[in-house]
Amino acid sequence: MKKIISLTNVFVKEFYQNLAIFDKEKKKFNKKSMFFWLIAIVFFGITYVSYEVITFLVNVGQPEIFLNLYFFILTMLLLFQVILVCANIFFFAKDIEKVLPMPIKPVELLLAKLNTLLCMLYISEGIFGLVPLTLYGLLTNVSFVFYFWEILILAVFPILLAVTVTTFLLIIMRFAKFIRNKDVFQLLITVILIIMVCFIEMQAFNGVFSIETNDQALEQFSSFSQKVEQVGKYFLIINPSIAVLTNLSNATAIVSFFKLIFYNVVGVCIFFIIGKITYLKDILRNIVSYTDKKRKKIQVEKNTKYLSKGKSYVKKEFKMLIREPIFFMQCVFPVIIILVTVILLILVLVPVIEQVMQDETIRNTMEGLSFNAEVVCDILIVLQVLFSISSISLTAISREGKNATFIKCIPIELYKQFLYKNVPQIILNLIVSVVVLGMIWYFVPTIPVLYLFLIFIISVFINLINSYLMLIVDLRRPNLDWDTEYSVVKKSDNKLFQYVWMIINVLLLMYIGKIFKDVDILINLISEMIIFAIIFIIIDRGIKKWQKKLFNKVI
Amino acid sequence: MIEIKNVSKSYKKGEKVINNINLEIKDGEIFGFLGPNGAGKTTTIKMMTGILDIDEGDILVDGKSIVENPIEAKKQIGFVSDNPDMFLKLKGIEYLNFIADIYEIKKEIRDKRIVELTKEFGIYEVLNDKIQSYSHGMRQKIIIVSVLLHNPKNWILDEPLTGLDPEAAFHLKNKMKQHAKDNNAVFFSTHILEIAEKLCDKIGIIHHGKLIFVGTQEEMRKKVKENASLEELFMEITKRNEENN
Repeated sequence: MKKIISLTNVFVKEFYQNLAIFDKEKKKFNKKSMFFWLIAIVFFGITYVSYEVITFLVNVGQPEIFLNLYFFILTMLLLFQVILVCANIFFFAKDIEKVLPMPIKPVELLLAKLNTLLCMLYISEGIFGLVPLTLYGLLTNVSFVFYFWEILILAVFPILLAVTVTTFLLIIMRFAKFIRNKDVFQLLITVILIIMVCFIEMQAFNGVFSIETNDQALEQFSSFSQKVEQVGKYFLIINPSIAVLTNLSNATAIVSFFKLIFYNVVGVCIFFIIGKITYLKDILRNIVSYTDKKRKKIQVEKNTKYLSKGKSYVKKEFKMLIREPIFFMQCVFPVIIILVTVILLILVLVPVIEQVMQDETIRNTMEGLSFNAEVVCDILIVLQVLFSISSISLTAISREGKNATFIKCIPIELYKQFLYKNVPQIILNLIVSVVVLGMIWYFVPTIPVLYLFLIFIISVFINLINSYLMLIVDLRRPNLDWDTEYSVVKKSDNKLFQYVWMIINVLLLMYIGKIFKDVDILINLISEMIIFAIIFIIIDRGIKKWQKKLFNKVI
Repeated sequence: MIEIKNVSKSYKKGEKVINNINLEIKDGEIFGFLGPNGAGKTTTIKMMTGILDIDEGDILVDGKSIVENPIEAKKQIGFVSDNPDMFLKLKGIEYLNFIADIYEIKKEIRDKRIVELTKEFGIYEVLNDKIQSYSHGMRQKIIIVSVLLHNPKNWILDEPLTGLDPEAAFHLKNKMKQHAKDNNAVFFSTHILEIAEKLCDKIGIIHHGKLIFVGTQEEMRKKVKENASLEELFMEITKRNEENN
């Protein structure tokens, strides 16, 4: 047991590195740590949103709906987290090779790895899950028993999710006979697991939205609650958890809790049986097969091609980003997931929207809505928020690690390298803009294409400003001394600057929307374009002027 | 030719890690840069290659200032760093092709040189593999090949022989000799005094950020101790400097 705890401790520390959120000497939170503030902002944001939602639901007399929404969102959040990290934790982490020569039993290693995964999920629960549920208790004036059950439920909740995904992973690894390319395989597993979850999610939502309703608002909420409960059927642990928290002191709560425990015990048993048979063999096979691959003969002339410095540099940036699965999954994947989820949700919701639009009153109201500055502002805010998800530019220097000095050794102007390093982020954001504006064009064809084109141009400037500013942040606060790729993104407290800039720009856009409210839409769009173009040019000139100073932390 | 003129550097105000260094590495010369750990070797090399800013003084590479005209100066340098773990996700051939693009080497020339050099260093067969699958020595070799690819006049090598197998070390030493013979400059740092003894035309010893000796081994023997090995001379000269401080 002691061994398992020590191993878990080492693995968790190795994964998170030193975040310095808590000052052990002073025994209080380290307010100098950017992470402290990052968590504080997220904490505050979640508290605010939860407060608004719960108050609204209490006012309409349907507070229980919150629990349905809460557990569904928490399940999704934890599931995606498990999927993104489990392959790495169980099979591809660098610590495995260091631990294998030690006298540790496979079961101990398996348990320590599961504990590591659970620790991460508990940290996520602590940040995202604890406050909303406690707030629900406070705002609905429930008895003290609620908080007792809350702790128990949160402690038990992630276990089944973790063991289910990991068991799937263990099975996939068993059937994957040849792991020629570890990176591609890791990515493939993640994609397979995400597709599985998305499929279940789609099935669940199809069930929800296929039921027709034309009732009034309150009744709609009530039926919505029932529909979300149907979603819970697809995830065994949701409904018993809700049942415990809604039937606090009667027998249903205890029965539901034991149901929950039963599911978990079964899940853990299956995980252990499969893990015991396969885990160690598959780790060893993975390590051996990785070094045992056959070499392809090379023909140099066919593998070389003359490219300009810029093109070659950008190509290298893309390769380095895409070929490292951790960087890809942390920097690019979240944007893809969000875009795909939004598209899927819209596709599911289209029949519902069409049905709603058949109602004459609603149709008249929709047609009466004008396309004004505030709508432009809303679209740009959505784009700005989406631009803030990816950390490609924010980690462009840190990802290089100790090799970053290469930037300074080669005969290419630092300003040009700054531009090249921004290209992947700019392209990803351009795709986001095109997808979002394309969807708007498809679903709201009444908006003239010229307006959408002008919004696209404005979004290009916002995109450039975002990418440039984030790269400046990374240049001024680079994390070059890292051991594991995970720590580049996880340890990067620079994310705080991305959120701060997002808030500033959202406020700026809201202000612009307000002052241009009554102005002609074309003048509004052109003015916004000029404003953001000027901001961009100022930043660009500044970078060119102070390029040497900007790169002076890359040593 | 590399000229280091009155160069100083401090990381903290008032604490100079490099104190007014003057050096000249002439064409046709192999210059060995020696010194204990933390003496300032890497800092000096980082300033020579443009990685670190220079606080005072200047460094000229073939007459081009690394401060005023860094791009032109860098074109004249081939630098092998002490960390060979570079671009691990690229295949060997992709890395060499990228370097060839950066230095604008024509396709015919790059193809010929890649084949020649990789065969010479015994890494031709692994060019299609990702660098992350290479051993430490092989990574070191591909970095050396990438530097030789654009045939720079001035080589700056930071601990270049660490991790190399005897055959590759032999080839590299021969390359260094040949490069100097072709009237180019070779500057390298090392901890292995036997290599410096056999290879260098001139030696520089840095200690506590100050250049305490520059000259040939003969000059050092005359100054310090007759018939002594480089190891003995090095120990003696650093000991004296320690006592003087």
